[in-house]
Amino acid sequence: MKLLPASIAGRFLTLLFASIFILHLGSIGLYHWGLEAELDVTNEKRLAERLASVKRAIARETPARREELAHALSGGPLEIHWSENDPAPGRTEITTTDFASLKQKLLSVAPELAENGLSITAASPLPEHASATRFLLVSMRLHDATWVNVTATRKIDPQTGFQSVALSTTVMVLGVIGVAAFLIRQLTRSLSTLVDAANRLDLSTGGTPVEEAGPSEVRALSIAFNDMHRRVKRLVDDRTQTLAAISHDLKTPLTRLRLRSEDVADADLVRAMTADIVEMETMLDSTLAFLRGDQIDEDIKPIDLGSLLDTITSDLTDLGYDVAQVRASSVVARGRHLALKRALWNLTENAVKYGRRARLSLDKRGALAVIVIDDDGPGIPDSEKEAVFRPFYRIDDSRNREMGGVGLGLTVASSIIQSHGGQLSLENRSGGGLRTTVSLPL
Amino acid sequence: MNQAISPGNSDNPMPGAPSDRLVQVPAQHHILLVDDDAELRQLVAKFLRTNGFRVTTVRSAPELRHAFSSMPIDLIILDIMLPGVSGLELCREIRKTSVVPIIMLTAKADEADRVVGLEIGADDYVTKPFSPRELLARINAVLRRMAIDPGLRRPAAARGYRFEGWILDTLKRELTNPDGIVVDLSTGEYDLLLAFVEQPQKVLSREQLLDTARNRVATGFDRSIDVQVSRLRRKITAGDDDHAMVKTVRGVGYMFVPTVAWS
Repeated sequence: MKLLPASIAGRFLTLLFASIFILHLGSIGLYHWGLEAELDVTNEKRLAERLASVKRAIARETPARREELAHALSGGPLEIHWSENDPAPGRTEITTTDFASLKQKLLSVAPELAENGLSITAASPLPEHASATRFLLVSMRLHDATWVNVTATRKIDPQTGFQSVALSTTVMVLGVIGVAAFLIRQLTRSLSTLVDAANRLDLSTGGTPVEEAGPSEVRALSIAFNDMHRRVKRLVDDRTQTLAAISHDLKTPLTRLRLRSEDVADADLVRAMTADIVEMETMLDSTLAFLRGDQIDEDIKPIDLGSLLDTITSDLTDLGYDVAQVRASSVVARGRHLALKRALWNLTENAVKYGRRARLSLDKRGALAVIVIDDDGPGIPDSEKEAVFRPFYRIDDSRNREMGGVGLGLTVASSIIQSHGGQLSLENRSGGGLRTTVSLPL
Repeated sequence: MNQAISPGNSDNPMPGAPSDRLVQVPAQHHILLVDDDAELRQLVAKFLRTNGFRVTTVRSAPELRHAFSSMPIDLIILDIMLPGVSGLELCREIRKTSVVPIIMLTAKADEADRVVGLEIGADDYVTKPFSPRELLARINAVLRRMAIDPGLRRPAAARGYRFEGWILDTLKRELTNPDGIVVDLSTGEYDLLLAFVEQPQKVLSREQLLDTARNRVATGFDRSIDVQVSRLRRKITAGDDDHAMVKTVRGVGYMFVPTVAWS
């Protein structure tokens, strides 16, 4: 398995290459085998005819000139000699079935070869014919008991076969792989689309996040993915709605409580009750705001961020907190007014609650509006920096419990700022305290 | 404005006292309260009656239609969540035939968004859990606006004041400057500005302003009127201080200089 490349395309192409190579090798083998068999038949026929004519010609000549003639008739794969005696006396006639069938084939073409006697044996290879692979010695006895001896060689060049196989395979494989690479790209593109869709999975949007197209398997996968998206969304929506409904339904009894508190004679008690009600209301509101997330359908408008910070500063000052703007400038950014106000309010409120005081500054840096909120608190340990953005998370510190809230302030602020294409970062200042930096595109 | 239909101007015997009787309304306004929660209906009705209103309560759309057609109504308080029918639809339905002021009761922020975002014709909204003072303030503000423009000649889509290019949207409670940029106001500053634009070119005493503001929302108005005015001024300066929109009238109070029109 390790040998295979990781990607589908790589595996597919490797497989394709291997199978084309094997197939090609096989087919070339088969072709050669058939060609050889065909050639053998033709060769045998020609050999028989040639042997017959050699025999006839030599038999007609006077013995003195026979060797000369035999030499003249030699050529190609045949080497012909004439001898008065048996060239290989005492041999065992026809040793293998191979030669037996050859003899039979030769005789079926030219029966006169066997008139006075015929023997076919294997000849021992001669040094000068090192490349020859097979030797055949055909001895024909003439009517006067002399012999015509024919040595046949068959040469095979083992290299040409392999080279042509390699060349044609390469050409073919390159062609096929070119086409296959194109096709597989098409195939894997629909898969990459699916991967992108899974990465971008956003539960706040309905409908079908992935186009249900492509090859049937990919389409089935897309449909399954969309279905899963729907189910996950329904699950989340159901839970969101349940929580929202509870938060919502709590508001009617809270309203009644508020109205009833009007009848209480004790002014201090009324004030305390009102404070409790307001706290519950704030918790419900922040929970609902968190649950609504990006569903806020507020219009995007140019907002004077300076006036926003002014309001936050004066409201928190009126509530008795130490808030001041160290540097204010008029910066306008496009965004959702109330959402941005909520985000900046949450961050500043955190600063005054956990960091004793807040110092705000607003600047324009390039294409960004940068809001810095410094506090004098203990800061946030590096290990908690990720966690503080999680919903309902609070740094485990009993002191923090007394601050109220449900642990959604940073979560809500962060998601609002992100939905504006901005960034929120927290860093501990070198001189102590936490620095919260918000940057928003103008 | 005339005293009879401007409850904010009526004298309050004990400013700041924890009392239901924040305003005396000489002419009894008839309010139709529509809510499906019986106890809430009862509590709100009781509160409004102690504040000098005549209140009729109904709990459903058919009852609302019947009551509305059988007696004169000055203002409707309409819960957005009613059994069987959406308050938004009902509001639209009433608007087709009548200009009666309508205040919506919402429980969710996104319901408030819909009241604000859709052209359903509501005059204002109050989010549950509302404080009784806030409800009273909204009622008074809407009735006051009605008194300024009794026939409601304003176009149906109009819902704000315009002055020197600035727009104060009373439904969104949002201020936009002449460049179309949203300028954020605190609740106190909004209330103050609303008091000014409702009675422009009129000298308003600190007591009057305090009254109006306190009638609206209870929180965030502890600072003196002078502080609030200076904060508001800073936000609505058109660049030069000579051209201040809010003028100090020495020894008396403040006056809102620009002419104001319905927008």
